[in-house]
Amino acid sequence: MSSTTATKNRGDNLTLSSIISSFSDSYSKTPQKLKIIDLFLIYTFLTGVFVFGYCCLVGTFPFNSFLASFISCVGCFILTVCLRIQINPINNFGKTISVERAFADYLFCNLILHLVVFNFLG
Amino acid sequence: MSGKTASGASNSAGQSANLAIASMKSIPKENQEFLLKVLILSIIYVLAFSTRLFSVLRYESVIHEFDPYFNFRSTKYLVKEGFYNFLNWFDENSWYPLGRIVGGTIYPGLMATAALVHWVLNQINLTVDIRNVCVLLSPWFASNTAMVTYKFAKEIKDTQTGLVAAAMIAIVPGYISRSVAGSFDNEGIAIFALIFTYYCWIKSVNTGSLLWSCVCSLAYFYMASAWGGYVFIINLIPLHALALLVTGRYSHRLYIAYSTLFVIGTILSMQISFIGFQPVQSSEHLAAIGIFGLLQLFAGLNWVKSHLSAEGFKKLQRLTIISVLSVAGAVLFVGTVTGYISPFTGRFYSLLDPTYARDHIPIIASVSEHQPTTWASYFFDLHILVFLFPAGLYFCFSKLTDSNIFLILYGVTSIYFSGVMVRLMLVLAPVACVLAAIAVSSTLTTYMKKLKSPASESNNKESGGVMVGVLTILLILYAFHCTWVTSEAYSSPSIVLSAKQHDGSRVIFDDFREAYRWIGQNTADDARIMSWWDYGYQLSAMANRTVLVDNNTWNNSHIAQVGKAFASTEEDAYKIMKDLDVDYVLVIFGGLTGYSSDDINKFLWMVRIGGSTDPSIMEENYLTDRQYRIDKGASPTMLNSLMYKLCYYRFSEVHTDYQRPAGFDRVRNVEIGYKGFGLTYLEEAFTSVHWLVRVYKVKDFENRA
Amino acid sequence: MKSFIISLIIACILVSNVFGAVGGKRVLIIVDDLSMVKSHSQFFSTLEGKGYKIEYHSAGDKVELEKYGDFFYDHLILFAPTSDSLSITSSDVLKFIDGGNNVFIAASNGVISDTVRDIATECGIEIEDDKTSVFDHFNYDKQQSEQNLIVADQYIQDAPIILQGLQTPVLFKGVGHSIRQNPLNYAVLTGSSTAYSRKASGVATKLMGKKVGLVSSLQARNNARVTFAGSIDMFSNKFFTSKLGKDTVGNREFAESLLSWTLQERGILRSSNLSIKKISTESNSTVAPEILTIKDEIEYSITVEEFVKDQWVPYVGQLELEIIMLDPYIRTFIKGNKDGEYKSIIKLPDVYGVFTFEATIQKPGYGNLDTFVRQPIRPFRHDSYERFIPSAFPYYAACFSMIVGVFVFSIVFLFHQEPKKAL
Repeated sequence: MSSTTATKNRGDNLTLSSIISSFSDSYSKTPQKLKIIDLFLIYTFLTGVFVFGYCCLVGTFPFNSFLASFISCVGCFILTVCLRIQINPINNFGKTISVERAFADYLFCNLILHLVVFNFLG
Repeated sequence: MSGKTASGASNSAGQSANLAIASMKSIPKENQEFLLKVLILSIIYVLAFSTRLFSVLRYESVIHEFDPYFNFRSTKYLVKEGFYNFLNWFDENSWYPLGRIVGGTIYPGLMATAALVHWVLNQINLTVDIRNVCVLLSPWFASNTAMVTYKFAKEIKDTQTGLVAAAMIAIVPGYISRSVAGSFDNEGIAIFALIFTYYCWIKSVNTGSLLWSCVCSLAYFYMASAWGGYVFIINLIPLHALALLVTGRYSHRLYIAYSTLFVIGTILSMQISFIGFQPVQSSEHLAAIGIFGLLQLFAGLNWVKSHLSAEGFKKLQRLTIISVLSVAGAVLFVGTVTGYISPFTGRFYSLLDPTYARDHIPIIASVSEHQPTTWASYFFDLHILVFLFPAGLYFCFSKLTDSNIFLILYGVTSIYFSGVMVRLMLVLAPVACVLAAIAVSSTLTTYMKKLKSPASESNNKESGGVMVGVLTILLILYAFHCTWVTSEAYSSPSIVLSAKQHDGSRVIFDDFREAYRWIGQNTADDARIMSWWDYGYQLSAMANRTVLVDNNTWNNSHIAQVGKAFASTEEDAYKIMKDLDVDYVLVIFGGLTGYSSDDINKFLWMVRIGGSTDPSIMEENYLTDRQYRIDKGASPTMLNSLMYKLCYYRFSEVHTDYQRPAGFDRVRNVEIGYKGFGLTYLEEAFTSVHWLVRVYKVKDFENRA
Repeated sequence: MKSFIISLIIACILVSNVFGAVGGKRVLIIVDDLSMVKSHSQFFSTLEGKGYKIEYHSAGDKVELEKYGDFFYDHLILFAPTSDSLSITSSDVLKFIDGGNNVFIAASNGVISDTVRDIATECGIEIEDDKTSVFDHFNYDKQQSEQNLIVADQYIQDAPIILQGLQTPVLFKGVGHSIRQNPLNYAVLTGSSTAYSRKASGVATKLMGKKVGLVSSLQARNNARVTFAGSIDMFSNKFFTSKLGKDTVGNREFAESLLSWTLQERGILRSSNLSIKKISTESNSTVAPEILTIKDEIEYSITVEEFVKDQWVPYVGQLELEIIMLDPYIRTFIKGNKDGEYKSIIKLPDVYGVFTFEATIQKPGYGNLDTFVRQPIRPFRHDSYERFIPSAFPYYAACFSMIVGVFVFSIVFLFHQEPKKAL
């Protein structure tokens, strides 16, 4: 009897809200450095959504400007995600790529990305 | 005394030799290897460059073929006017009167590279003429390709494979055909950029470093600026990523490499005006965008998975996948239906369906480089690589790694595309070399070990010896074949022809340049010349005159007008020519020398293309019994066409052969059907020495009529 | 307002580039025999008063029109229709015409020589067979018995400059001809609807009615003028002084006007001072001033003069300007001011290419004027577009914010220290 009830209880746990709460519990254990990265990711994502929404509103007239700014947002997002992956001690990047090296690569890629974005913008 | 001294001397010589060998042996192994490697690579570098110099040594340092002349002219313009003026260049001397915006319709990588090399050399006070820079750029880049192939194969397998691959690609005829000295065309630098991009891609997938991904996207940018075949890269890499996903080899390195390459590479490639917004609008780039989305999904799900329990994750996964797939499907459907996503262009579509061009677009079908490949040309261009290729594939399959999968995909797709178009044999050559190198070096490694094994296993030693011997012979045959092919088949400049006479001596036909020089010196500066589009680039570059149509073939109806003029009677053609303000007409005639790529042989294409816009020109009218004839049995439409008259004007006065009657055409091997006619609206201006090039002036309107 | 003058960059080609010398004064008159000089003296005297240097030769004399490309005479009057012993051939005369010089030929109703027939055919005039005359039973001079001395007054209507408003009829006795329909030919005097051409035997030929040409002209593309008159008698003193009833016939005025027109004393046009100035442009200033870009505003100006009484005076009329690239994109009419200047401000089309700016005046009776210049019209340079587009400001803002964000983020990231775990 108890076992069946127990199973039922566990079955009830699989609602969306319970998933989200278990997710946030697990997330709060991540190191703060990674949380800073996640903040920046959210900011980038929101800027990208804003740019895309503005384009849908106004139309694609200066298409190159739209693409430049959109790709700039997407690019920053992707690069930061890659940085996060490389820094996260869970993934075994530590032997081949040190944190400093990862960050230096990140800055280099950002430099190239923003140079191209500026060329494409006007 | 002397004998003793002599023996003493020989003794000391022997001693010093012994000393040398002993000192060689005392060099540590790594340094020995390094020395050997550097030596081999430098020999390969020099070899790749020098094997492409046959035509320079036989004739002179001159640009070959047709397309390179346009590239040469553009490079001269770039060097003279500067980069911004080059990007804004509006060429009013070609495609009269429409003009052509050159800056927005070319891949500027080749011209920029040549101009850069020229600038660098001039800065260090080596004043090399721009023509020599252009002629020798392709061989130099071929050497660089060999070096990059070495690194590419080394990254995939090991150093030995790299060295063999570099050696093979240095002389493989499939690559030489488009990179010989004088062939100043996009493929010369595009293959270098291709292999370099692939090398960076493999490196970034293997290391997962952002730096390599960024370098890969810069290499991709260079490739996109160099050749239209960059589409191959942007489809093969997503295919590789998909293959890795499907085979369960997803890893963070793949995610980092692909995402960075996609984002930075896309925006870099859009900087080139010719490419414009295609990477986000055309269907040729859809695969890349799709795989990008898929990878984001994978990465996101992986990350969420690490924070959740198993069942919870499963539910979430199903939910996410369904929603994302439906959204993506809806976007795709709407995009294609509303036409926002442009369908495949004709050129690309003809790659997937080889019969498409023949039925729908005669201009694409008529280009000689777009014909399907024959079996013989595979062997001709690749020799032993043809059967070492599947052996390499086997070795790749036996030890699957991320990079091997890439090589397999590259090999299989390039085999398919090279079967569609002769021109794409070029893309097959590098991967054939790498795969063959894998096969060769793996085999050699195994059997050399057997050779070195202790004497007790004599069977092994024999088998080892046999295999090594066979491979050595194969490689030697390969080297001989490649050099022979280069010398005989791929080193002709096609602007200077040569033929062997009865007594074995060579006679040189320099008619083309003679005619272009005549035009350049004897016509008004703004004269307009009408000819078939094949010769447009050469006329623009060498005679420096305005032409009506050239090899760019971007405006089909303009070409059709010219085709119509050539296919009509003299009177109708005169009206068309006066409408187009034509001053001179140029035709190529091979009937006296036996040159078979002349305008009479191309005439049916003119009729077809002219007939594609004007239905009154029908191909059947120019044939008799479905046969193309120019003798007495030819159709009257054919005999009265402008092309016939311009080619055979006064030809009846010439005896080409002692046993034949006057007016015997040595290419078609018949006597011409309509002789002794005159021209009313044109007059003959110039005929070159061997009657290869004939120029006619269009008369003004009659004064009193 | 930018204004820079373009000199004729690509050669300003005049279609009629062999003008000869308009206003040349050397005339060669070939007559059957020198008695004709006396019988047609009034006709020839119209020339003497105007400063012409005249040479009379009879038909059998050996004359040369040109040697080594230089012409000895500027005009030829050929009054020897039946003579077979002319030393100049028809091809000589045709070369003379193609060199820009004028010819005045008269025929008669005798046996016309092949030379004259050839010249006529090459100019589009088919003279009737030998010994045919033009008859008109309703409009003949009633003092004659044969009705082939006709009174003709069907003058050309649309080219008033030729006959300068002549209304009086003229007397004509000679052979008719048929003219082809061609804008270069002028039917100066034709028969009335009752005229017809009849052979000596009395049989009528097929030529009748208004199609019977009595006097016709050709103005060639290089403005050389050739006139054929079917009757040599209509220029004789006898006909000049004849009377129809009370009035003198109009032969003298007719002959004088026709001759002076044929000798290019009037009605020849020439253009000069062609300039295309850029007034305003939508591309920016990095484009060189002489380069035309699409949507530019240009001022096209040209001066046209006509040759009247040995001088070039301004021609005030209407000019048609076409801007053509395979098809005309712009077609306007420009009226000239009193100095003969034709100016117009035009906005160039939105299409780039090599355009021909063609100015034409085609007034019947006047010489052709066809001046064209070829100029490329270029597309915009990459920096000719607006630099900052207001509707794109959010995009600019987004990019800048990303850069600032990366900068701030990297500072925070680099100087961040993991918080020490609470013990």
